[in-house]
Formats: sequence, C-alpha cells, structure tokens
Amino acid sequence: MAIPPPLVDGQHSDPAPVPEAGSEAGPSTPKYHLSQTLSAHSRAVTALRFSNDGETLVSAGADGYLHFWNAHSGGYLRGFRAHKTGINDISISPDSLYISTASDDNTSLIFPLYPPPVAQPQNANEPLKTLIGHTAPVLSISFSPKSNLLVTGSFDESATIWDVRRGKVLRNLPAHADAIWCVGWDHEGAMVLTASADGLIRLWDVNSGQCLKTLDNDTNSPVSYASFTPSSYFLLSSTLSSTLRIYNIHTSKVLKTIQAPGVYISEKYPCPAIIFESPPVSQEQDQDQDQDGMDIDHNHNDIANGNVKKSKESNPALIVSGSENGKIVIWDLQSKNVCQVLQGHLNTVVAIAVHPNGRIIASGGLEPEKSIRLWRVD
Amino acid sequence: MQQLLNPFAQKYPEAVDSTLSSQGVSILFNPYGPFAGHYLAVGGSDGIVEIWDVETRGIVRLLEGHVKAVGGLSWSRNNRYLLSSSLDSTVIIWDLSILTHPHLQPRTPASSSDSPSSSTSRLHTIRFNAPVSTAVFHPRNSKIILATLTCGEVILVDLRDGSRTVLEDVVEDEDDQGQDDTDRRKKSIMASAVFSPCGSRIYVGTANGMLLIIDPVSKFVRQRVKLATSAIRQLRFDASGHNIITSASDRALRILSVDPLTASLTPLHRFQDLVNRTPWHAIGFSGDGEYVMGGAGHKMAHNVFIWDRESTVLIKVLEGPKEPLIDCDWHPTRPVIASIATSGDVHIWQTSSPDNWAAFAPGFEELEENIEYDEREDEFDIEDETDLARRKNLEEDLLIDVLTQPIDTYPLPPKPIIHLPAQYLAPTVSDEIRLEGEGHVKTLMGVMQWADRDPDEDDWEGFYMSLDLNEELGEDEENGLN
Repeated sequence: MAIPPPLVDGQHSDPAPVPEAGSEAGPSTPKYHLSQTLSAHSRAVTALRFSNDGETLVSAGADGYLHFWNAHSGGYLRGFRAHKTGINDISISPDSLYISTASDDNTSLIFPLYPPPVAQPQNANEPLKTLIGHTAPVLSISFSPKSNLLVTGSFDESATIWDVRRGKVLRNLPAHADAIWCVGWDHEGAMVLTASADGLIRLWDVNSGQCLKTLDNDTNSPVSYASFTPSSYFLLSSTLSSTLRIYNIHTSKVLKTIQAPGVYISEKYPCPAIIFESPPVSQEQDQDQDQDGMDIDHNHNDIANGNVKKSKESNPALIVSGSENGKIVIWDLQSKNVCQVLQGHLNTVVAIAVHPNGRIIASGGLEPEKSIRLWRVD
Repeated sequence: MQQLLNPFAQKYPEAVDSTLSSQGVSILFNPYGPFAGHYLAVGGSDGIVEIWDVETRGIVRLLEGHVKAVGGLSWSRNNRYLLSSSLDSTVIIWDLSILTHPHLQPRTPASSSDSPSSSTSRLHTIRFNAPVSTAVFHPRNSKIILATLTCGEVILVDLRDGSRTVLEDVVEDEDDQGQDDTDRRKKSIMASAVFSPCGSRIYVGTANGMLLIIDPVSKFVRQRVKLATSAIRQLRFDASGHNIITSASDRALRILSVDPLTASLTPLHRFQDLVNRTPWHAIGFSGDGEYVMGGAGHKMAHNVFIWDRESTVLIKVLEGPKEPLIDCDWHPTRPVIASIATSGDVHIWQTSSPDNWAAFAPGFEELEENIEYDEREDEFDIEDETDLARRKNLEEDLLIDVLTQPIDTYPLPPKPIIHLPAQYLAPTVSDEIRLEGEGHVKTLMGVMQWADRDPDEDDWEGFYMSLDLNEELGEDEENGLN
C-alpha cells in the first residue's frame, strides 16, 4: 500500500494554519531523557503498567514472569513466575488492589498487587482467581473503571467480559473475523471496545452485550491498539500501517491522522499508543529553550497573571508510542507534530507505559533486549 | 454512550429478566453519579442489608447490624455512605469504602483522606425511642439525617453538633402567642418525610392529608397544602426535583409540580386503579421523569403500573409472579425496574432489545425507504496524492479536547437556586415579586451554607466499591444465580 507523503514536510512548507498551536507545542512540551535501565526478565518485556496510585510499575515478560518495581526510584520490589508460557498483557485494577494477566496458555490470572504483609511466602504468588474460557492465547486484558469486571481479547477471535468476584464468564462478544489484539473500557464502564486484526474496532454496550458501533480505517489495516481518550467522545487507534488515528465515536469520522514517516514504523508488531496530558514544564526549562521571543513573553504573561490553573488546563495532550526501529516517538496531538524521539532500544518497542503524573515513561522491547528503560522529565 | 443507543428504544421495561434470591423488604438504586444505578441496596426482613452489583448480579457488601426488618434506605450524594433504618428503632450509617479484609486498602480518592484505622463499615448507629419507618440523608451532607418514626414523629438529626429536632407543625407568625402555647400547635401526626433533591426544604406528609413544607434551618413550616383527607404515606421526587408524587391511604396517587424557587405546588394529576381500588406499596418516577410508576399492593398478584406523566395514560401493567409486591424502584438511567415480592426475592424487569445489525458494519446506514443515489460530480475523480494529503491535513486542522471528561453524561442531583431566575429580572415584573424572589434566593443560600458546613468525606464523585477477592464465596453464589 502507498504510504501518503510526509505530513510533517507538508506542514513545514505551509506553516500558516495554526501558528499558536504550533508554537505552544514547541517550547512548552517536556523533554524526556533516559534515566534508568532495569533488568530482571530472561526474555523480551511484553507489557508494562503503572498502578493508578503511582507507586508501582509492573512488568511482564515472554518468560512468564511478573516483576514489581518502585515507580519513583526504579528499585526492585519482587517478582515471580505467573505463567509457564509468555504473558501478552497485564492490567492493574483502578483501585490498585489487583493485577491480572493475559497469557499464551489461554488463561488469565488475578493476583494481589501488594502482597499481604504476613502471608506465607509460597502463598503470596498463588492467583486469587483463574479465568478459563478462551480457546487460544489471550492477547489483551483490561479492568473496568469500577474494578468489578475484566474484558479479555483473544487469538480465538472472541472477547469475554468476566465477573471478577466470581471469576466466571459474564458475557461473550464473538464478532470479529480475526484475532482481537486490544480491548478497553470507556470512563464510565458502560462501553467496551475491541480492536481486531480484521481491521475493525467495535464498541459494545456492557449491559446488553449489543454492538453499538463499528469503525474501520481506509486501508483496512489490522488494528493493533485502540483506547478511549480521557474524553469518551474520542478514540485513539493504531494500525499496522504506521498510522495513529483519533476518531469521533459518534460520527465515526477520523479527526486526526498521525504519522511520522521514517521515524515511526509499526507494520508487524502491536505496540500501545498512550494519550496523556503533558506534565507542567518548569519555568527554567522554558527559558532554556529560547527559540522564539514571542513564546517566552507568552509564558511570562501566564506566570505574571498567576493564572496557574489556566496554564495547567492548557497543557497539551501528547501521544507516545514505540516503533519497530527501536525509537519511541512523542507527538503533540493537536498539531500532529513530533515533539521528541527517544532513542535507546535496539529492537522493536512493544511495551510502553506512562506514569499517572506524566513524568516517567517506561518502555520495553523485543529480544535480544530484556531490559526496561525509564525515561524521565526533570 | 447514551447517544449511541437506539433513540427509539422502548423507555420502560417489559418482563422479568432475572431474579435475585434475597430476603428483602425495601430496595433502592444509587440515584446519582457516573455509576448511577450500578448498585442496588436491599434492606432485609432479617435486618441484613445487601448491596448488589447490578452488572454482575452479585453481592458486593453484606451489612449486618440491624436485628429487625430494614424498611428504609438512602444513598449519600456520591454513594460512599448508605443509611438504613429499621423497625429495631435504630438508623445505621455504613461506610461502603471499607473492606473487611484488614490488608486491603483501596488506593482511590475515597481512601486517601482517611486514616486506615477503621476496619468496620458501621460508621454510626443512631437510636430512637420508636421503630423507624424511613430515614434519608440530606442530599448535600450525610451528617444531616431526617428520620420518620412509626409513632408519627419526624426527627431531624444533625451529627455535626449532635442535635435532634422533632419537627412540629408550628406556624411561623407565632409571635402573638397567647397563654396556652401547646394549644396553638397543631400536633399533627407525620407519616412521611423527605428532603427536596436539592436539599433546601423538607416535605412532610401528615396523617390527615396535609403536605407541609419545612425550612430545615429554622424548622418553620413555610407552607401547608391540603392534598387528601387521609394519611399521606409516601412522598417521592423525580430526579430533577420539579415533580413530586404522593401516595395516600385513599388509594390515589397525586402528582404535583414544584417550583424550585418558591416551592409553590401545582397539582397536576391524580391516578387511581378504579377497578380494583388497589393500595400502592411503592411509587416513583422513571429516571428521566417521563413516566410514573406505582407498585400495586394486590394480595394475589405482583403488578407494577406505569403511566405517562404528561398525558396520564396508563401505558403498561407489568405482571409478574403470583407473590404480592412490597417495594419497587426505577433505575436512574435505564428502562429497568427492580421489585421485591413477599418472598423477599428481587425481580429485575427489563426490555429485550433486538440486535442492531447495522452497528456491525462500518458506515452502514439503515434507510426507511428506497432512495435514488445521487453521485457527486467529483465522486470518481482521481485526486492527486499530494493534494489529497494536503486537503486531509487541512480538514484535520481543528482543535479537539481529548483530555477533559464530559460531565453532563450522568445524573447529578439538582443544585439549589442561588441566583434569581431570569423571569424575575424582566422589567415587567413588579418590585414586590422581585423582592419576594430575592428573599427566597437568600433563604436557599442560607440552607445551602448550613448544609455545606463541616462536610462529610463523601467528596469523590466517582466513588465505587472495591472487591475483596480473598473472601470465600458460597457454592450457589459462585455458580451465579441465573
């Protein structure tokens, strides 16, 4: 298929459209740098998640191990072998009590995130629940916003909603023609999305199990990742045509097509793409990057007015995803421009996570690398 | 999500979808918040209060404290606290954020403010000297409680200063009181009492058919309206607070509209089952307030009557199992009704929605009739790739806010009116009326400030109940109920 001509170049030749948005994306976006490399897995790191309380980073590997890290210091907390086969995805419950896994052995397990302090050592790594039902490897798993349901997507082309408390199937959603690579929830827990290699994203009503909407992309590329944005009106998808898209879920229209030709490559391996609010950039950093006098004036005005809340609200939305050339690309969503490219991985990046405060990005890639990299903003 | 559902879908339930095995005598969905209607509180005849997760049809909290039937339930504004009132003369406030397992500390906004000392969900027990028929939280502060006793007293309990006030029908202009003070007070027996949904007034139904509107701060009766000649046994507001429904012993349901500022009442409709003269055991509005529900107290049938509020047409009579109905409640957002039978079982009524096959195909549109397709002039033109890219790029050059969550998508309690509505500011309105309106606004402001002082810790709007996966499940529970 033809890759559309570089959009970034197109913008350079025609810088007129939104000069304000462009200038905002320039100096006020944070710069991340490699701060730590964490090693524990004996094979590739396949999934990374920060807990909602911001305390813990959990990594899962193709070796079947779960490792727990202190999110602030990067210190190693504990680890154990959860599955005999590789783990494809993990999800931490929003109340930071439990962690669930999706594995190649067709099952999902639920473990406590923080082990009880007085438990016997052999008991602590026993799963609380085992979710059995899929007939092929489970590729994706996600806790509902209320932590009471789980949805899993599998290579067997079906998605399942699970009752966490009973550990039993609540509902099956069998409507894709290929493996389901990604599942997710909206912010009220009313809708589930499934993204499949058949090129479709479907939205489901959790209560009735009805399909509400189907979204496709113009190249029918396999959808490797999809998630609702913090505003449930929009949805972010990533397809194996090196393209990210923002959809309006009501009109099914693509509002933004985000690419970075030559920099961002995603043609074979799924990697999450995460939308997050840019962390506030400190005053000194703004002054360091004096590209443009106008911008500095603009920032000074904000600070002089003492309008801290307003400047917090206007932090731009960023998207981060990993590329098959080992790069990690950060875009400004509004302008679709690349803000930063993080280089360090040698092979395809397949695991990525952003700390709730937006100041730490964790990444992991395919073998021969087995380590996790932490990128921070000062 | 609401916009994606079929807008022409039926707005009221049809048949029993599932039955929860319980010992209930009272029932209530949580009415407000992003997770409105996700929980169902069931007060048991044995004194046990159960909270069911409506999605999974499983019990998420079992609250043991009462020793007699629990007839009244109330959710705090963000669902963190539940109030249960029982015939054992007590009212208990439960903190639903507490998990019984000592090591499980959910890391959510509800727990961060708390010290992790408390390991019991029983927060407060308030004793009265008579059985309590119902009790409700103030909509803005769960430290204020309004309890109706079976002996005909209504008591306003303020946990912030420990005060208890027995509400009496005291006339406001009482300054010219004579020698026998007690004689002037009409000691009316109060049969039911609720707060208005904005929390600015108390509405009391008396045994002789009067509806009293009482100011919660001064405890003065602001208005009294004669509705019926027999006792007003139940009062219920719709979610917006604009309509109130009453159930009286004369077996008639009356709907009144309430002006949120002046609290002036306008009788709208009267419903009655003329054939069977059914007494009503439960009343209510649908979530959007368009329908009115009456749970019939037949001796041999389980019926829920549904009327259209606007046109007063009887739309549907839900006919369930043989056992009589005790209580019912309408889901705050969906066409779902929960009802309790005398056996204590909870029936969930739903509509069966056919699959929408058009939703499975991207870009598929359902047409009512054949239309001839008009192709655009340039529809099959081949556009230059660079032009295409530039055009797309321009089209996508719009600002979208992906980070802010829309807040108007779930039900929220109405706010008291703290600004004079526009119709009072019109030049045609006389000064007298405007001053009166300002007086009302001032009173409402005063009540709001009084209620908001010393708030409870129920300040996280997205509150939900965490699960304890260490607990043992019963055999039948584990296998599900359906």
